[in-house]
Amino acid sequence: MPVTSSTRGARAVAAWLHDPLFDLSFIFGILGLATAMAGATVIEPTLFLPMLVAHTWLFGYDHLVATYTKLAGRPADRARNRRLIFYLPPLVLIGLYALGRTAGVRGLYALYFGWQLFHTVRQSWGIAQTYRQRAGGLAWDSVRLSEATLWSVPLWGILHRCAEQPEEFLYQPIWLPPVPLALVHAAGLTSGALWLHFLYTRVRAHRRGELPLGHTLYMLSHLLVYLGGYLLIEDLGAGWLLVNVWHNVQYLAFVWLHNRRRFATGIAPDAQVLSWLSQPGYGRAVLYYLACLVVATPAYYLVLRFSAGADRLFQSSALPTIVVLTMTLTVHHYIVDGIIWKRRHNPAPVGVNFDPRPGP
Amino acid sequence: MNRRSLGVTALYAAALLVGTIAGGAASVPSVYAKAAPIASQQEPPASQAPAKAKAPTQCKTTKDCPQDHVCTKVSDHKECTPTAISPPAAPAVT
Repeated sequence: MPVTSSTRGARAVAAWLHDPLFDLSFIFGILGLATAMAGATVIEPTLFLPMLVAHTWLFGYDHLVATYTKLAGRPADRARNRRLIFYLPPLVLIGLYALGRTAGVRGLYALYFGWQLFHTVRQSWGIAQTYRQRAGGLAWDSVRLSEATLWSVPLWGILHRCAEQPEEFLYQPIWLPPVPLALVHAAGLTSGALWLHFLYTRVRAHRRGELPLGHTLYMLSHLLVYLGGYLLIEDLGAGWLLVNVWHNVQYLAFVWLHNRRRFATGIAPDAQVLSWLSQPGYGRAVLYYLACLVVATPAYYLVLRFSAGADRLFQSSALPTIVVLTMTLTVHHYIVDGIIWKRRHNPAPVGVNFDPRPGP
Repeated sequence: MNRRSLGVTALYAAALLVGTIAGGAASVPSVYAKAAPIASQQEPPASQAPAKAKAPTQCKTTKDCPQDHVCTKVSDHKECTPTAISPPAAPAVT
């Protein structure tokens, strides 16, 4: 398998992450899936709840489990990440419990709404940077300006949602800080200007025969997803679904790709199952996905049963245990993800040209 | 895995097991408080009950709806619609 794929054509440099099939599926296939799922709920709002359940089960739980293939896939990973695996979860649990007791479910959902946006955008920025690296760094394209461009749409979007003052999110109460409409318009104008500049630089690159196809297409898909999810789709839940299907499926694919490269030399004796699942072939990729699903489903079922039992024991209803526990797993994933994909946590295997930084 | 890690793992596993057993016990009541019915949802006296089917209840949020209903947008307004699936009381992980 070629680790990098840069194909210089007459007018463009493809610079895929893997190969055209993977990358076009990664960019357009996932975008199409997310649009179809969210679009169905926009056309028929009664489909939202079944779609949410399907999304949570098929892409949510297992995408979180995929984190653990990176966090604890090998004995060396477990040794290096011992604090993140064993000591961080109780701290997160205590913090969220304290927040829940003081700010209620509304406060927890407000935290979740803001953090999930930050988390998904940070992942998107990481992937965009990986495309940049594949294209050779794009010296003519300012990294800072590119970062501002990428963040500008989600920022505009969340300001727009704040100005709307929604009362409910995923059937639970939520509070978002009120924002003046003028600020939303200012963010929109800034974002528009940044994206126009982006398009201008890409047209110029195309004329020079240096258009980085992978990076450009990825950036445009990012624009479409956040524009749709936080600005064009009126319903808060349906917009969230668009972004989150895109994010979760993307994460599953990206971590699979990471493991493909990590075990490119063959079956590893210290991680036989994971390395076997990470060998070449899309059949193995399907098995990898199913393995994540098989681990995630009973694990979350146990969490749900545990929550019901805990609430019964403590006669609690004001702050359901299920909210605190599942949010603990989610926030733990957010924190861990912000750490384990950094360069210092990714020693490159000998003989493999692999640089995962900066991943999701 | 060293002894300390094994100990922490055992502690987590035991906590999960206790919760699972307790949660699996029969007649577990719902932990979610039901919202008090809003005025428009209260049953009218039998003498005033309409003969035909009740009109859908308008709502602002799901808390305004009876059990097994969620507040859903229908054309230009929101109304309580029945659902076979209970709304999740937790964020879908992301």
